[in-house]
Amino acid sequence: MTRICRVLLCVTILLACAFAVAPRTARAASDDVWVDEKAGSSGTPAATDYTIPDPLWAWNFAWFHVNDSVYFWAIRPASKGYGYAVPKPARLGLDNFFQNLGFPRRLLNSAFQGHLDETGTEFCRFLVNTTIGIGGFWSPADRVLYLPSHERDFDQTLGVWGVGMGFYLTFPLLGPSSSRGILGIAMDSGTDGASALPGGSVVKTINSTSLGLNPYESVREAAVDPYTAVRNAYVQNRIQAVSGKE
Amino acid sequence: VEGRRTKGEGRKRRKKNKESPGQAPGVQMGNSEVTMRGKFRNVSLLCHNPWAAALLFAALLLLPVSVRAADDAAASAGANGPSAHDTVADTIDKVRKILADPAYKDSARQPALREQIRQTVLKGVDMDRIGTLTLAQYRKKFDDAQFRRFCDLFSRLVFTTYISHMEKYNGEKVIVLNTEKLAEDRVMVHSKTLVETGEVPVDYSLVHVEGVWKLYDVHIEGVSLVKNYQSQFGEILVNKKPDQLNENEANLRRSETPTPDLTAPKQGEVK
Repeated sequence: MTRICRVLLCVTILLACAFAVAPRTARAASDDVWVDEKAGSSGTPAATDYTIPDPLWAWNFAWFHVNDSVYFWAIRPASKGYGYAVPKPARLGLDNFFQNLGFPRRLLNSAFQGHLDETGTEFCRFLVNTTIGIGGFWSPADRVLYLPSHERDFDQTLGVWGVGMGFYLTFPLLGPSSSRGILGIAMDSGTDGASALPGGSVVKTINSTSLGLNPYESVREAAVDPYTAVRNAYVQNRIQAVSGKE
Repeated sequence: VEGRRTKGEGRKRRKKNKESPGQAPGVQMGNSEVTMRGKFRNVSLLCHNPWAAALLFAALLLLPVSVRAADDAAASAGANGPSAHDTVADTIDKVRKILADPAYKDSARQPALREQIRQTVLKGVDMDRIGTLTLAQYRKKFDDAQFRRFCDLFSRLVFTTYISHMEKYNGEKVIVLNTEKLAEDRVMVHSKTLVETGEVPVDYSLVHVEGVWKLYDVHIEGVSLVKNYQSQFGEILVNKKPDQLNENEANLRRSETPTPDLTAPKQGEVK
């Protein structure tokens, strides 16, 4: 037990160091890539600072390839088979159901981030979709009431609170993340209903992939350097999420 | 990669972004049902508040003037041609029409229609600019011949990859939203694609070159295509030479269907 406590303490200290020492990923003055050209010296544009420290490159690179193989050899074939077996309306219903189960995560994080209007909207959405929408399988909040849902997660909340992204980290099966993302994943798994269901995350992934909602493939197949492409897409996505533009 | 579609995000985006310079009249600006609901809510408020009604009336009188002024200011760069908004809306419309054509399903006719899409897209893309921006500080490592080859290979790679996604088009509705002014000669046109599970925001960055608006970046769900390739090429070029990058791209394309040269200048086009 003492040993576990020591390990936990070490991990906590390491994480604290990561957040404190690692430079927070700088955001360009604008989302416009053109800004870099003006900022660059000697008439050539400078690359945007959409980078993240990658001290565990060997670990990340190895797990990237494992995850990539899992995606193309297991998740994609499984989602194709699932897509043939389950009719589309049922898959859309299940997607709505999982979206509805994410209500506590979105509610808490929109409140933590100070978006009280969104908190109210999320609450109304949950009530309407769970009752009229028969457990969330149908989404009258979207189709009838036009109440927008906002994706909010704890990693984003930490970013809004000023915590830096830290360093890049690829998790087995979970994919790209960061040292800040560890806390985000831990909190989100406790507040997202899909994680509480046995096998919920697996079904959710296969269901959303069968509906073409998994962005991994798009990023991966257009890449010259897939590892860097996925890492950069992750960083851009997180920066956008924290800046509130997404 | 977190990339969930955000349901109903477009309404918030429209609220947040200032209404645009160069916005074309008659082009669909949003989900009409959502807009109508908003209008009805406003009307019911006005019935109970005559001061609000008077203010709105005054604002309506001033609206044409202010809209015209905003249009003039923003479209000053593009006074001679179609606005950036129209350029994007027209291109999307043309591509969608070709994809929706039943002949596109015919494998014999598909190559010709693909070529038609390529020509349509090519008209509105500043490939040299995209090449320069993606290479960033490594551009100076390339001589002219290497840069031309790079642009050629890169455009082929992007076109081949994305045409396969475009071919999955299944009648989804694309709505071109507002235009955001970035600089005197640059704008970002916001759009969203309505899919069954929500919306996918896609933003286009355009620059005004010689009287026409040309695309130089695309943001899909907030991820910039140019920035993404910039990071990849930067990672490769930090240790490798331009010819090695070109070789990498060529190798990547060997297994793919060949497409015609995207960067080849057309008759009368200044490269």
